[in-house]
Amino acid sequence: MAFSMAYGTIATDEAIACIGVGAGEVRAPFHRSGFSEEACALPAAPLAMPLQTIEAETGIIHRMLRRLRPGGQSRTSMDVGA
Amino acid sequence: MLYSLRSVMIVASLLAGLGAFILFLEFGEATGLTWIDVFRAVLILISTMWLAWGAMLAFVGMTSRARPPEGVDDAPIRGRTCILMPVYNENPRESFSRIAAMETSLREIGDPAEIHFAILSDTRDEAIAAQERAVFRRMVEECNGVGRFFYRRREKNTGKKAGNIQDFIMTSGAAYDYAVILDADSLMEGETILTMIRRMEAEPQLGLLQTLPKIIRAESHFGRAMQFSASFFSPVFARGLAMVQGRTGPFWGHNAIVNVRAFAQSCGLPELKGAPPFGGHVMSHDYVEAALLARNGWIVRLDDDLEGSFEEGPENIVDHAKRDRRWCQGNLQHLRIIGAPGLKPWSRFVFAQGVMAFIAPLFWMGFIAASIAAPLLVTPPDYFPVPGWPFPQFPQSAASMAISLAIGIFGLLFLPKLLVTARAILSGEARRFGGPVRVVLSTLWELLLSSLTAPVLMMFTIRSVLEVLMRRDGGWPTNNRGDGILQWPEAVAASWWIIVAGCIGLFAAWFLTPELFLWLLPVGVPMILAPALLRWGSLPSRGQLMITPAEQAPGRVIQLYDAVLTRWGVDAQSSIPVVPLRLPEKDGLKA
Repeated sequence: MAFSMAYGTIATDEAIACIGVGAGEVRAPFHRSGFSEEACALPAAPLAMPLQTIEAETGIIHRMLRRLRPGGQSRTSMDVGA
Repeated sequence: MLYSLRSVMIVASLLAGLGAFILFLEFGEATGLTWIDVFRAVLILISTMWLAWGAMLAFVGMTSRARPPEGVDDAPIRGRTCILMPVYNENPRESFSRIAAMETSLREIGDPAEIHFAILSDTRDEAIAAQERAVFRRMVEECNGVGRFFYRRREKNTGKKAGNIQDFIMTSGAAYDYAVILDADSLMEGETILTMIRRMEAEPQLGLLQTLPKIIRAESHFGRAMQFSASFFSPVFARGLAMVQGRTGPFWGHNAIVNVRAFAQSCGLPELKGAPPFGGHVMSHDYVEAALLARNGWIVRLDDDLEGSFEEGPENIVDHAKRDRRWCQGNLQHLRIIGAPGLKPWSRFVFAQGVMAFIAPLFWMGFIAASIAAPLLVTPPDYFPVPGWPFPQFPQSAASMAISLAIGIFGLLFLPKLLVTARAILSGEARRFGGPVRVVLSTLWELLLSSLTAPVLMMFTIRSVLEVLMRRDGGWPTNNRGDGILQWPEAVAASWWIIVAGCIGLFAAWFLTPELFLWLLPVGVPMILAPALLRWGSLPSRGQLMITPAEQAPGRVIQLYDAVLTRWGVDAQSSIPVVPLRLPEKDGLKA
């Protein structure tokens, strides 16, 4: 299949369904008969799409924003209660 | 090679900025350097660097040529492809007729890929949704498309367009190897689509291939200026971009093909923490998806040599500004993502560029405002520094340096476009745009129009940025696609505040810094004339300038699109009602 070479580059992730399987090997209900709601519904061939980490937990901007927030880290350094 | 090119471009931009910075400081020193001079010099430094970066892209684009992959143009196609058209309250006759045209274009060349089409509706308006179903049925019947054409409408439009695509992949992604992602106004030649698929198959590590869409069917003065610019100048800038971005290329959200498994593996976008505008769903998802693909080792590439990729643009400045408002919020939101773990350094640089594209006008406006207000902020120069000495000591004139600086900045703005024009004439490319004379006149006209509209667009951008910084969410408005003619009341309502700002600026300059008054007229006068510019820009253009190849000799898919649109447009008056067609109970679509 077209992707047999590409699979070697994909980081294996159990959440990704059908990994290593080309699209042609997936049984999808492609109707060829007359027009109907079912025939024009999307084929059922689910592929998982795991959510990615896109926010920096420890980045400079994040740290700055957290420090600027009331009750943020800067509070602790100014705590003179003791 | 790539790193050297990037380094040279960055260093050259820095040097241009530093040159302007030093020149401005010397200019200020002539009358006694103050903190306001240093402040303005810093603003000039940043603005000039940004301008120089754009000019560098053009210079690189002019001096390089795309090298299409060899031996892939007629390779057999093995993978399965689906063309995705997400729609959101669009006119279904217009959107679906593009699908019908692309299907016919593919069928005419044999469609060796047996491509499928999926319309992914996020439409919220029930009447439009009903029309979508009726038009879809007609399209399927006309194209004999049962089993190849699919329609799905989501109950909730979670995640907007990115969520719509994600929903498709999680429902049907495993059935396809590739997905061509379109916008509702996208149009692509069948041959182009097949070439994209072949290039994906020839390069297994290619995760996303982006084409350069050209604007078509513009009719207004503003729209045709954008169309000419996108067709004549943009390919050169895109070539430069393709060169400098390399394997970490751009994704513009449409007119691109993705490897479905790479996309599924890499591009599941979570909601950002907090509320909009900085939190919530990712608005400018395309940049993020490109960065995430690159993070996972996939190639993201812009193949600017691919022709036959089209889109439509806004027909007036107000619609352009509305779209920019959405992009502005999306790009500023990237400040939350720029530090995401594992991103390629160049992806972070691209995010920074995207932010800079919207905040750059703030630096220009800051420079102008600081220049006008300078007398209020610093003490005026002392012309009698020696007590008792009767003769004044006038400061050394720095007019020549100021003029040099102005020429340098205008040069960075205009020179790339003038060089593109010269190159088109010398290479014969100008013939496709109406010949050398028309090309020169069109370029001069475009420069004049862009100079007039720049201050108005700058004000809209500044407002957008300030709104986002004040945490006002711009929402997800539907794009206006249509004739877009603005009436006078609409033009005034959209721009009265720009007139006020222009008047205040010029009055302030007249009283505080009269020596700057003439210099500020090119900025102030267009602001005061903003409603007239908005209105005039939206009117139909009947001129013989700004001709594009797509106007002179429309490609096959454009002809097919026009034919379908005409057929459906005429029929639509009688047979495609707003209330959906009543379909047979057994196998019909439910209204």
